[in-house]
Amino acid sequence: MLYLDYAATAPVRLKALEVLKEKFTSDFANPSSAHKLGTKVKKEIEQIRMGFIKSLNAFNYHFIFTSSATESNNMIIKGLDYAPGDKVLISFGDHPSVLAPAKTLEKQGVEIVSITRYDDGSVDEKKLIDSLNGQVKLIVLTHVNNLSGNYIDIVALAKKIKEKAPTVFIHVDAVQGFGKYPLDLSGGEVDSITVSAHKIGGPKGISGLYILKDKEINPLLDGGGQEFGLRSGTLAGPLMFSFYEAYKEISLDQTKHLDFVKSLYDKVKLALEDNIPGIIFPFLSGGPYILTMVIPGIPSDVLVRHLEMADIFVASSSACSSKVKGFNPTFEALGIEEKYHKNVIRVSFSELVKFSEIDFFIETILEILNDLNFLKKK
Amino acid sequence: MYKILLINVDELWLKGKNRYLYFKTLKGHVKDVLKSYHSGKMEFANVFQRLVVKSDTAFNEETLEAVRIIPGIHSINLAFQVEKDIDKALEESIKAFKAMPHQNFTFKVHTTRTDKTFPTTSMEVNRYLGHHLLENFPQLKVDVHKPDLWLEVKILPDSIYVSTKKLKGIGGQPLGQTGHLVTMLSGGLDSPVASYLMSKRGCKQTFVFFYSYPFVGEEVLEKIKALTSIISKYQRGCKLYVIPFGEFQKSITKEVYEEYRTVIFRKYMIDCSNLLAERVKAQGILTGDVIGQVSSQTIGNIALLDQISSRPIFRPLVGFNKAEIIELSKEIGTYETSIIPHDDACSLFAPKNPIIRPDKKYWDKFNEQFPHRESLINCLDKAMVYEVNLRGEINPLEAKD
Repeated sequence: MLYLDYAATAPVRLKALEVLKEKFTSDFANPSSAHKLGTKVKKEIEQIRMGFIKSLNAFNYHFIFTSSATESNNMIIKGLDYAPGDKVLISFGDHPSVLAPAKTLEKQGVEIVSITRYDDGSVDEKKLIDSLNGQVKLIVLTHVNNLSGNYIDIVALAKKIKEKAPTVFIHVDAVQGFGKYPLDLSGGEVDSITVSAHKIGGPKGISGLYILKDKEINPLLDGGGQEFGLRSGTLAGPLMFSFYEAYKEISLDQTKHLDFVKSLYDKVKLALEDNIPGIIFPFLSGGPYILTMVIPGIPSDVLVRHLEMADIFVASSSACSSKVKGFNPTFEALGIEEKYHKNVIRVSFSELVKFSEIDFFIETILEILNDLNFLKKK
Repeated sequence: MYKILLINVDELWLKGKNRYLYFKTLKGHVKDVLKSYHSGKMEFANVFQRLVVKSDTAFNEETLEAVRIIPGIHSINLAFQVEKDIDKALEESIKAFKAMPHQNFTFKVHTTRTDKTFPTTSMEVNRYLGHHLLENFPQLKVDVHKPDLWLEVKILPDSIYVSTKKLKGIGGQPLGQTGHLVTMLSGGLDSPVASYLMSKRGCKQTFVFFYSYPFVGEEVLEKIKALTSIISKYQRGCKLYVIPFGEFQKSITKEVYEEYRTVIFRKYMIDCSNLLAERVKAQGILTGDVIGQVSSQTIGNIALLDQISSRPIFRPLVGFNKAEIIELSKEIGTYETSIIPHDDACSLFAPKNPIIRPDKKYWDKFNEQFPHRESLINCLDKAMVYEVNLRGEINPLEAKD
């Protein structure tokens, strides 16, 4: 099997799986319990919490565990106090777990404004900064867009934003970039960051949120007061440890991995560009972990299924919305013409992919496309 | 609440000497359905031209509906049984009237005296019961033309049966009596309706779906299974053959002129359906074709396709308008499933200008040159076969060879 859909999710790394197994069976105690078993788990959780903080120099932040990136995003977007007339700036090309909670704010009289993008899907920073005024309460940025792979230097951008509007709350969805790109939060420019385990080979069901210590939000869940009172619920110790294990593995040789994945990306892009007439790579600032392309005339679903017959797995659109046929509002927001919405293919990599596998992928997709040529209407 | 069903048979009068066989078939079907839905003990008896089913427990709505849609049933009286005493019938009628949800309805008493030895005539029973019911329920009125409630009293040799509720069946012929067809399903609105119409005419069916994976996704197969599950309730258990067709279709595109693609695919589907018919011993093919609906359904194309089929092709919808088909699909419960959008291999492969007046010479030459009998047998051998039981539950079977 050749899996090239890492932006959707990743298999659990072997070490992370070992940890999961061990912690579920040996260190299973409730960290809130007063006995030795409980206090041991609690202590270890605090250690990995500190590990997450140290790795991003996030000493001004709390790191709290949540159940999913969707929860982390909801927690911030819904958890701030808004007054009617407040504005929230957001990119309509971003993930539904950002867009949908923002949409619910409209009922409170909050205005949702789309951040302007260039044709290649990247954010027009100048327009964004020019649009800032006292009414903007929250800006939601995406570190790496899940469909385009576009990367934003969020710290630099947040700095510029804070220079003009120091009180605005900046939330970043960093799910696709966490562990894969360097990130330094020591300046405290960003107020909160969503990260997730399953995209980097950790287990599903556990995610995280960095939030500046002095920021107040209304929790989504009240209860036993865990996670600084921001997220009650028995701590999912085994998932947390496994998450950390996966994170350590991917972030340890971050630059090396990034360079390696870039070479995979370049190889695929070049080979397809040379051999598929009419292919379009719409996102110029797309990162090496995600390669999105449009192959005019070839329905992406059909291509995805032909690849799956060869045991190769890629995406035709975001896994969460792939049932939507025809017009795709996210593609629209990212600047893809409607006539191409059914022709978008996303290939996403990991440092675990081998060069020989990439060769196989290129060879197979070219063979399939040659076979499917008849689908292109004359 | 009803433990007794009087099942009235449709079109039995047509059958003359075969009547016994028809009745037996219908009775077998009713028994099968009831046994798979109803857990109570049951007795089945033929009483004149009726089938009487008595149980120790009441039939639920789901069971009644499953029986109601058995082909060949004219109607079902949900009844109470009393001794052959007119006052007992009155007593039961009063109970039934009291059980009505509101007490300001009109009614009519309709008696049939099958047992001519019973001393009181039907008219007399009508009058007697009507009179006493009005006495007991002075606020009610009789309406002989359009009553809210028909009180049916059936005097049969063993007992009197009183019924205030009658379910209208779908009529037609008992299933399996008129033949066996291979029904081509496409996932749209038409073919399930066509299947229903022929179920009503008593035709046993084996369903076939040409699955164009990887050109269409698995959701299409799920849709076909859901549709089969619904229309199988008009059958008496059946099978669905899902024939892998995508790779074959892809190879054909290289041999055929683009504008002939659709009609040629159609031809191979009919060829393959005939091969299946041979295996399952079916005598004909059933399709949801409607004249003129799409280019492959012009008379010209239909004429060509009929010539290559070794079995008759039945097209019960040829003269239907779309609105009429939609209405029927709503009635039989397939509409909501049929309109779920799905990838359609036909439109994917569809030529820019499909042929409307095919050239007979090219057609004949093509068929001679590319019979593809082996490929089609191969497709059929690889079919996934599903079995559908009387409750419409669908489960995979091992592929047969």
